[in-house]
Amino acid sequence: MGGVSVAMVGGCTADAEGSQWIAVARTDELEGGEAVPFELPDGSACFVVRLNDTAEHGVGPQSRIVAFSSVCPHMGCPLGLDGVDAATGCIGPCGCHQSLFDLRRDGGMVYGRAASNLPRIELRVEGEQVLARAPVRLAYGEALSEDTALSVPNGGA
Amino acid sequence: MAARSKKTAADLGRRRFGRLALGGAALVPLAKSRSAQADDAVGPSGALFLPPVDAEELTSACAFCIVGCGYRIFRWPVDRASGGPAAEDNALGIDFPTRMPNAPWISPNQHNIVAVDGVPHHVVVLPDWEAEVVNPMGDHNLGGVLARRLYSPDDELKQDRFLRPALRVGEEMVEIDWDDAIEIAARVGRHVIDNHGPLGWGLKTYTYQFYENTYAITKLAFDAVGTPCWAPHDQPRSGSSTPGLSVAGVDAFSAGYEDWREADVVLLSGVAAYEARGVLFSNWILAEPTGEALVDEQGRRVKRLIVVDPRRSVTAEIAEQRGGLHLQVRPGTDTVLNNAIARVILERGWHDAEFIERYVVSAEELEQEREGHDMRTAYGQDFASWREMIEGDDRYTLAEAERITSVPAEKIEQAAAWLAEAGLDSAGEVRRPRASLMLEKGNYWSHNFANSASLVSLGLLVGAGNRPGRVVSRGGGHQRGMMRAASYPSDASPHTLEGRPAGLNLDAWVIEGNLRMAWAIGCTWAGGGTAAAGPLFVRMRQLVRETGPQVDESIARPNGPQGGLDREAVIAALCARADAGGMVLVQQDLYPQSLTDLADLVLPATSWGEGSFTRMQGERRLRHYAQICDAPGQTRDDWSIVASIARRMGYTGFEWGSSNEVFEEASAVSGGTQAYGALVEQAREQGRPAHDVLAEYGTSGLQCPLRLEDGVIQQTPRFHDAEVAEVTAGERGGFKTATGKAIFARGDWDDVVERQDMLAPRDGELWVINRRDSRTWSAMVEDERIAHRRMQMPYNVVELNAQDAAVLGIVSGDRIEVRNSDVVDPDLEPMSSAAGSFEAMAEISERLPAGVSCAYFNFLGDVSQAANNVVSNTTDPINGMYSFKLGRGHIAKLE
Repeated sequence: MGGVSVAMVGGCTADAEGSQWIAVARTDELEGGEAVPFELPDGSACFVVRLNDTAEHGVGPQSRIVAFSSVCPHMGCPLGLDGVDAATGCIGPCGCHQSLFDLRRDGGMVYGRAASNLPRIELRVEGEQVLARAPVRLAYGEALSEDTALSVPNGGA
Repeated sequence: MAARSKKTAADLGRRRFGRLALGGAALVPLAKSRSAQADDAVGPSGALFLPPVDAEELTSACAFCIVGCGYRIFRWPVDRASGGPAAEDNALGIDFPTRMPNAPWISPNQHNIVAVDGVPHHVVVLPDWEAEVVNPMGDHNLGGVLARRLYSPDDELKQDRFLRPALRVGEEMVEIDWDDAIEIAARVGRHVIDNHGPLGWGLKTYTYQFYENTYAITKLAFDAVGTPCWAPHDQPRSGSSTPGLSVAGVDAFSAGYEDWREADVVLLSGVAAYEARGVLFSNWILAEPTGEALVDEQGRRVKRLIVVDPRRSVTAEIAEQRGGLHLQVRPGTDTVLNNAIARVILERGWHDAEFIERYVVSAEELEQEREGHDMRTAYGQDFASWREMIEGDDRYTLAEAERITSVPAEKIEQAAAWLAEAGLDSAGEVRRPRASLMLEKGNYWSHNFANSASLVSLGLLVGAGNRPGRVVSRGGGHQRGMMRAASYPSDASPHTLEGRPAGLNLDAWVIEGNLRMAWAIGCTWAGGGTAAAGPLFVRMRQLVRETGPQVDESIARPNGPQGGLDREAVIAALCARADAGGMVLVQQDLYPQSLTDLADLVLPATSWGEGSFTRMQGERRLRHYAQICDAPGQTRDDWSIVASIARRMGYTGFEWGSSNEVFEEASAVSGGTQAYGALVEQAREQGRPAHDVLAEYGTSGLQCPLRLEDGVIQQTPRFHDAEVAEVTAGERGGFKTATGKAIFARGDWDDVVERQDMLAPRDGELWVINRRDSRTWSAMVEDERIAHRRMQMPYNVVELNAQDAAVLGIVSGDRIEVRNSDVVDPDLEPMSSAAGSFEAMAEISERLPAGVSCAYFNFLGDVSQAANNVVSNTTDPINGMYSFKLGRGHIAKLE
């Protein structure tokens, strides 16, 4: 993995809500299809990539830049970042059980065994900097909570 | 007897193709807002939903495919504290967050809130991360969303669940009491049987949905009523799915999963092993043998896969990536391919002569096997006569086989060598490969008999059948939940095949207007689950909705909607329709589908997690499926509904008080691979319910058949087992024949070629084969109500080769119609139309060769999207089954 290193761009900022944003890449240095790894402050492994096509929730020029957890939500295997195909916008198949995820479509599972889609990382762009913060859905290994569950208490009566 | 609220058919959830709003170029789910809402839970953590250390724990197995992965369920009331992130504060015993792979992580789709004894409970359904069998370390596939499959009244995707019995009154479905529903079903049934005989009353039912239910169903149908009018969910008649194996004496589920691991080479004939049995594929089929393995020229251990499939499936792709073979056979020509591989092996002297000598019948023994066995008389062979057939037919030469099957000769030779040529193993010994052969619907839903016969005979030729790593078995579709209370009453069937007694063809019987009352339990039938489903649906509509009296407001509620149900008048009207040549239709199910548009009466049933059940999976492991939540609304277990109706019909022997009582009674008829009498015997000795005893075996269950030795239950890792047969003098472990030896089954192209020509595309048509995978289990009727699955598969897709698409002017994303104008057996009268069609979205794919398209088999139980509409309802002349994989049709873009 070449491209922009975490160390070069890893500064943190906080927005008005107090959420921590970290710089993970520069828009002008992301090469098409090359996944750049970074870690969120809690240590979870992620990557940012510029795809060849517009992506749902993409940022930057033509909304092509997206970031995701790099841990397969099936059983926690690391997704090989060389498995990103910029042309199809997919990552995978996962080396453990072959799940394949579509990065253009919010990490939706194309095929495979995961019980949830690949967690997308929220991004925004400031100037040339790509900033990231928490996943928009529960990432592998995190504890399920009231806010990340699909059902809420008292709904089962 | 008061009639309650009313629902129109639309209210009951009837789906229409148009709702999917196809037409865009992108394969983007248009119901996305709902999916996204369900899958995007944004925000920081609130209160944790981890099971507390004192959470109640249950075990079950997956609701979906044959593999039946083991699951652990934790539940605790929502008004009690959940567990904490520290290992000592939660029932999973791990610290959160965890970065360890294979940890018992709870994804959002593995949690739900359900009612238990009326009290809201958290429920977490996790693959058993400590499993050592079936799904080691908690691997899982479809079951990863089992928690979301459970009913919760607030789940907006499950609002159309059948919760109360309902009666059709005009165009509306009116909810009624159970007592009225039972009385109507029983009294009309009794009238039909008394006035039209057992041949006027019949059932179309699943064969997989738990022993307790199928035992009750077959006790009523076969034992009490004695009707031959019964067909499984995916067949037109009772009969073997793999008749070639039956002739050979090879049980379709004889293998243990370790056998697939211990094999040096596995041939997958028509098995989407990755797509639909992923845990079996990854953990057992792909796994290297534990002992010495064959090595390649560089001395590296090898595990070889040979995938036979007209479509370049993901399974085939993975096989090729690992140095394996994909034999991209032309649809329907598997018999030629199997026999051509066999011929190469024979010509090169690679066959396992020692195995054949020892474990296959001699000519004299074959005569003994043929006594009283029509199919073995017609198609059983000894080695010499079978060899003569293979070597005496030029169509099985490499050149001819390549021409017929389109598989290159060199690939056929390579497959033969891998299956049978001796090689060097990792210990430096020269030995035969341990070859195993797996078949599934790509094989036997084509030319049912010849394909399965030629495959099992190829297996016997290479010494597969009864030794570690050397087996022939099905991969399996649904789990094994069929327990027949009595034999199918073949003698009562008016149908024959080639002069032999045969099961009654239920579809044909309906089309000909002979069935006066039909009871569909847990299946789609004319909604897409049978060949020429569309024309059958139209015919059933004539019989049910357009013949004889219809129950309308004046009959059902003569005193107005508030005046109560006049059930005597309803019963009289329905009986009058049956007498007038029409048909009464009862649907017993969970959710509406196309069949609901026709049903007179809907009986709401329970499913996985809503009752206490049992069944067996693909290596014969019997497990207990715990009840996890309350049965929704007024739903009842199928066995309970059947028992109530049977009693009301006047039959005795249906007085069970629990599903455990049914299970224990059924043990007396359990036999063969399913024998579990030893478990019940032990439970009775302990004075405990057999369900409870079985539950203690957890996710591993008990590998059947079971037997008691000195009070200890003994299991059966491999059903046909040469070593066991030696020790027991053939009492156990032999093949399913009188001699305990296997029989070569004649699968010959002569028996196929005429039907192949009849089914083949013509005049611009394409083959329309079909597939299933994890995203569309059981017609996707339940998956559609799980957001994660629905998002992946919002509509049926037809894959097309780019060359064909260019000719047809079709691009990916186009809405298309597939039409076959010749799907109805001309011998069947009367039918208003012989054409079948379905609509889908086009997807240009490199997975298919020119001339072949592929759709999902039976989508949503929606007849308008049913790929089976373009499958001929003529049947295989030998075994009388449909060739579901050999549809054909013209494909046209819809505006």
